Amino acid sequence: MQRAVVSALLALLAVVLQVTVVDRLPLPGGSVPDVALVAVVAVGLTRGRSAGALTGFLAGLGLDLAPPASHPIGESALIFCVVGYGCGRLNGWLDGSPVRLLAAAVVGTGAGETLQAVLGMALGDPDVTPSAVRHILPGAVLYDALLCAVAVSLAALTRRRRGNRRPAVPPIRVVDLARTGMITGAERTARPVGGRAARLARTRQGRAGRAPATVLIGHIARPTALRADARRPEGRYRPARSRPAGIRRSASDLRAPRPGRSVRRSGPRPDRGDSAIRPGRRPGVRRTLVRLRLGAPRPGAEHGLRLRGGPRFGGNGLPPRAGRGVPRGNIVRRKGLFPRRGSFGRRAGIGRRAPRVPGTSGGRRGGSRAQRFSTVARPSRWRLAAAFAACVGLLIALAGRLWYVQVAKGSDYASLARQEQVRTIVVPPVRGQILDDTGRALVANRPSLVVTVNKTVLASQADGGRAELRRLAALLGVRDRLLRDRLRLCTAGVSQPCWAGSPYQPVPVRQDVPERVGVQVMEDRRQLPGVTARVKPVVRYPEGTSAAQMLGYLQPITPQEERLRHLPLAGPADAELVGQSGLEAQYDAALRGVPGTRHVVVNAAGDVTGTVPWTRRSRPVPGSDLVTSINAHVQADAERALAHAIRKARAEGNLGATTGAAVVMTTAGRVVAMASYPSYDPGIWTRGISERQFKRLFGAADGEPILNRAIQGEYAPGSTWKVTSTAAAVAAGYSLAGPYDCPGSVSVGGRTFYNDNPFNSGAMSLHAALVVSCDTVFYQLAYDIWLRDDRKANVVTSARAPVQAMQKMELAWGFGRATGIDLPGESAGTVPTRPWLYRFYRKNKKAWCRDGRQYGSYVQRIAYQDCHYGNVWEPGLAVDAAIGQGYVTVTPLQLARAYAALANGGTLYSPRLGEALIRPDGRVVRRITPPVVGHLPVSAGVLAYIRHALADVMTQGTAAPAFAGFPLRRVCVAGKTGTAQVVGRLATSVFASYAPCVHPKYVVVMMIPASGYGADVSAPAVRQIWDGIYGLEGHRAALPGGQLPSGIPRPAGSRSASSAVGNAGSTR
Amino acid sequence: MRSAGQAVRGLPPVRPSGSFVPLRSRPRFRVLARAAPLRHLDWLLLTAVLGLGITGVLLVWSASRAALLQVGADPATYLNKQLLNLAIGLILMLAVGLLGQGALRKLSPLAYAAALLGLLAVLSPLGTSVNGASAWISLPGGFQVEPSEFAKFGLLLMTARILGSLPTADGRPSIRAIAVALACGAPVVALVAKEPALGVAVLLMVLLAGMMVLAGARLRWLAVLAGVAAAAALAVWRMHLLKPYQLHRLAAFVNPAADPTGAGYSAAQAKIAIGSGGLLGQGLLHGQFVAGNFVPEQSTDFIFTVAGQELGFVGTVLIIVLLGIVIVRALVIAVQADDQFGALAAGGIAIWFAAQTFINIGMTLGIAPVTGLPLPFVSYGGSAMFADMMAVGVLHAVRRRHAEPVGPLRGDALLSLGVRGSGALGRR
Repeated sequence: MQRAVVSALLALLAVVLQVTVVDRLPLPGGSVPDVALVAVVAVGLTRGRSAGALTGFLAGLGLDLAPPASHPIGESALIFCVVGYGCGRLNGWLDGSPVRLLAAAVVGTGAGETLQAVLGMALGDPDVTPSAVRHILPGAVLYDALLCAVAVSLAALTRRRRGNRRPAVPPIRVVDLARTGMITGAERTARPVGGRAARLARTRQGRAGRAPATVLIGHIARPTALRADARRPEGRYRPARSRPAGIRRSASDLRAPRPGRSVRRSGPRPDRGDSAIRPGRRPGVRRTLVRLRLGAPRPGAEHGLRLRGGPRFGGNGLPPRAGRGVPRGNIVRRKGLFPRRGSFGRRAGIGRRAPRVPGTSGGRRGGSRAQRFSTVARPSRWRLAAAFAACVGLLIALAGRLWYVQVAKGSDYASLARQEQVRTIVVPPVRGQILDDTGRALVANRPSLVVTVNKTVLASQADGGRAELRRLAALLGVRDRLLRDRLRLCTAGVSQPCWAGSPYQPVPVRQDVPERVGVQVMEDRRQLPGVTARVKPVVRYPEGTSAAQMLGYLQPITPQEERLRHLPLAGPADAELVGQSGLEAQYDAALRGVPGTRHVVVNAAGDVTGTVPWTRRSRPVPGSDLVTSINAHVQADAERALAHAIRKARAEGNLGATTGAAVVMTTAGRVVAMASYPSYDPGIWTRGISERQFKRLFGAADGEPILNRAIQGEYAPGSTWKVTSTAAAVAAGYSLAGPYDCPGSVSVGGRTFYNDNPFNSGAMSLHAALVVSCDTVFYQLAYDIWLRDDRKANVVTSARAPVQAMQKMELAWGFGRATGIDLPGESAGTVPTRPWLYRFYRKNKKAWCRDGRQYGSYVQRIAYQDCHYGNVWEPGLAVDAAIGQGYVTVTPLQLARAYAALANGGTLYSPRLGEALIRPDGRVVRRITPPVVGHLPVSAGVLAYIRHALADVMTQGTAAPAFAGFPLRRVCVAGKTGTAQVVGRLATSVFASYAPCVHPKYVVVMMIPASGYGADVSAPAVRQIWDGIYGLEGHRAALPGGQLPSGIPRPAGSRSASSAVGNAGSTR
Repeated sequence: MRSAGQAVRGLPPVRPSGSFVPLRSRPRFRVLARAAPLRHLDWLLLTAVLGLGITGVLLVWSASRAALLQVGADPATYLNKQLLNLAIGLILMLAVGLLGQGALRKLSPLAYAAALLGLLAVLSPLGTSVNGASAWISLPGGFQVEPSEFAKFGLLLMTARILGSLPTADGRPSIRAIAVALACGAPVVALVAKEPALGVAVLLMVLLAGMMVLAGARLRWLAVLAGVAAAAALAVWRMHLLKPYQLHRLAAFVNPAADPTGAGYSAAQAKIAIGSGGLLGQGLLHGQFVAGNFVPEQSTDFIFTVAGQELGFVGTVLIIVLLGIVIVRALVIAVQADDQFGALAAGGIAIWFAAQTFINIGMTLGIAPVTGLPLPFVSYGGSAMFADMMAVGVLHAVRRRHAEPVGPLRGDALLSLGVRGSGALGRR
């Protein structure tokens, strides 16, 4: 026991020393001694193989479990165990010689280090590489050997000292004892038995109450002959031939041992059979310590002789093993786990006992069987002790590891556990609504029962969830093909319908599910794992297709967008919808609100099992409502009028008329209506868009309904443009009164430009030119101005060329640049300035020169011309631009804004759709007013002159037929028609108007490309819009008296969806 | 028996001091008599085993409650089953203990044959597969038996008998005995490995080797055996005989961070569960991680994670101490045993429990690879509980033989008084 403890402590000490101190020593050569190995070698060399092996095993195990261990558990334990055992084997060879000791130390440590290196390489330890071994191994062996020599010397020193303290006890000779016939058994022991062992033996004897017994301990001189005899298999001790001198044979010579020392007599018959013979200490005679217990030489008594073999005895010295058939027994009753001191480290010897004689008592009453019947082999004690040490060592290792995991690193693992089982669920806020100026919802949120499918659960099924989808499809009444398509991820090559959100989010496959079906889905949990039905807010469009492009649409956020916008990832519950175009995109941040978070405890399957008590949930902040200046009635009227006009044009055979746009805005820059034809039902986005719908929406064949032509359509403005030309002419110094000739045609720069009216109308003022829309007046003005302009700059060679005089005015009216309306994706239109021409030429030169032919078709000749002179601002271009043709394009919104500026006295606004952002409770978060972006560089008198002319257009001019019968006295409308010739197509029909004539409030603009004259197509449609606004000609007034609703309205519909969102986080 | 009675009557009555048990003519049948088996139960061992069993029952309850509640079953289902297992196990333990060492020695070939048959039955259509290992036999009535657990028991007794009965002159087992023991062990190990239950196979090999060491087999023979085993392991590795999942588990053990969601998942989750328990734990039935079922097999192989989280370091160390008591008592009984058979059986049981404990707890702590070995007395499962309890019964049998008094009232004394016969009071 003691030795096992000493071994364990030594091993522990060595490992701790190794790991904490020695490994960090900066010794020369880069290698450090292996203290544990040194300890093992030292113990092995001094204490024998079993102690060495045990210490080696424990030290190795310690190194295996110590923190920076990169090798498999057991590697060091195995190596050290083998080394310890081997050194123990060398123990016998040492014979006290210092040279042998040193050699053994070198061999032992060298073998240990080499084994470690070899095994490390064989097992693929990343730390052990051939180069590392070459560098480190020799130094390590050197250090180890030095250290080991010191350690072994120390150990030997202590041992010798202990040996010196050996009590001087009377020695006896085995031979003589054997001769007496009293010795019937002998037991060899590993250690000299000192005083304590003797005392122990005595106590045992006393306790066992074995009456006649004496313990003698001392040295005996063992003649060589005895050893030789002892090796005989028969195992009988034979007397030596020659008796050594000094041994007295007579029992009467027996000397009593010194009292209090290790030799004791006891028992009632001390004089009987005791024998202690002191031989003379002669040089050359090996001394052996003998513990001898002698009992009464009567049958049944136990006798034992333990001899401790000197080093020379080695393996199979004394005593001889009992041969086959010799009954073996134990002398001392074994009690307790460990072999007693004195036998540890060697195989317990074999005692011999006399055959039992029936009828005699074996000793005290009630003794155990072990004392008397044990005649079979027993497991060796040190092996049991080793098993004990190993078992307890393993358990202690477990406890140590537990301490490390649970106490030292406990908080780390606790936080890991929290991470594992707590999910933060982002609760999406209720999205704000979009309202018109009376508080009517254009986009509302309504609760809807939505069935979602968890793709991960589906995929985990044997058939990939196919059977489940079939069941679900039957329940929902759709084809399972549709469900499968909706569950696909939108990647390259996958067309709509597909899922654009995260694959880990439940995919909504069907909404507006009847409650009955929803209940069925929830009840069929077993049949439909991963399928959930729950109430979610769903976007609703109460006005149907109205203002679809302007409002925009929502789609699940893509991971790219998420990163771009730094949004928190929505939890497993929901894919967050973000606005993808129109107002939804423009005001997305305000409409979306702030997502709330909820912490829930989930189990390994991801099911929510409860809420987390130690975190606070933050409620989502609902998005603000956007109040727009759109009036739903005017919007509807405008769309109806636009659609009617286009249908009428088509009915008249102008089949090219498929698209168009109309804008109604106030002269203060607020947009009241914005119509784009064709339109579509934005509800298809929320219901899950089909591939056909998607194609139709983005397909040119169907007129690309997704485009908002009011801001994205670029059309030639035609004669409506003349207001800017008039202003430019006045700015260039021309008189308003004229007179200016209005011939049927004008020839400029070799080209002839025609008026719409082929007859000469004679001289007229600019007023008349606007009223009758005389093109030739403006042709001549433009040519004149071109002539007076900077002619040298007309061959444009840089993007910094000066802008022409007329185009300067057009830019000042807000054309050629985006209006800055609160909608994404606005087009800028074109004003053909010199810098624009330069860029245009650079861009297209290659194509022109490739296609151009000097003598080819008309188009080829034009291209040829452009190839060579495309960068020249020719008079023809200036003449075309003066009447809003050629390269000039504007968006309907730009035209409306310019007319608004004309009407309001010259203030140019950046138009706005949004009026205010309000909270659900009606509190205004932000008011939105159209910012002023400029003023027309035109005097108020000139503007008034133009306005006067435009008012006359309705009564005497080009719009007079279209407005015949219109109650202009009640609502004075002023306007200008425009018919822009476009090569290869029918003219673009344009009509721009405002009302009332004095202090105008509204501007209505309509542009329908490829449909015909402005007076024929657009003007009557605009008349309908005016009717709708003011309630004329049998229409109901959308804005009675032309008054806009005052103040910010409160939202009309209650946000009933908000209550349904409460459970949005839970997945079950 | 009449003569025996007379003989007894002639002697002074023997009664334990302070005992009020009425003196009976047949002391053997007195409950607390010196000779009564009850007196010779190892109460410390029994207390430890009972403590472990009851802890196990509670942990199984805690581990299975949440999952059972979720599917709407009675949350005490596994609690009741494990309680029943424990009760049957205790009865089996007493039965085996009363059988006595001699009978066990005689019956050991039978136990071995039964184990072998059971393992063969697994391969037959009777066998069912759980978690990819066909280690179970389905019995009528919904019962399932895991023969590999009983194989440990059978192999233990058989090996103890072989190694204990053919010693050479110096008390070491003869090479023939070792060969026979190996020959007996090989088919069992092979059948278990075939299931595949690599963990049990390794345990059986450790058991076999440990018992050979205890029996005193020469170290050089053991070294040769170890060399052969190493060569075989190398061959298995080189010839890719291991199943992919086994390789993954080993790889996950060597490098746990490589695949935290796959092969390393169980080990990683187990460590988190244990570590989050801290010093005092979260309280029985209050483990959040346990309730979330994050650790797979947490009521069987990974039951220790439940202890770790809910009982903390204090609780886990208590379990280890209880297991340590069982192991130490087994070793003490081995030391005290009368003969090689008893000592080897008891020592083998100590090795069995120690190895199984270390592998089971070690795998939850990341210091042993993940295998399907239950924690003795604690993990849910009838077969394992029965086998463990029967092993404790063996310990009791060995101890009883050793501790049985052979005083004047019995055996020799009767002989010395001229009583003949080998009846109830005779010498065994």
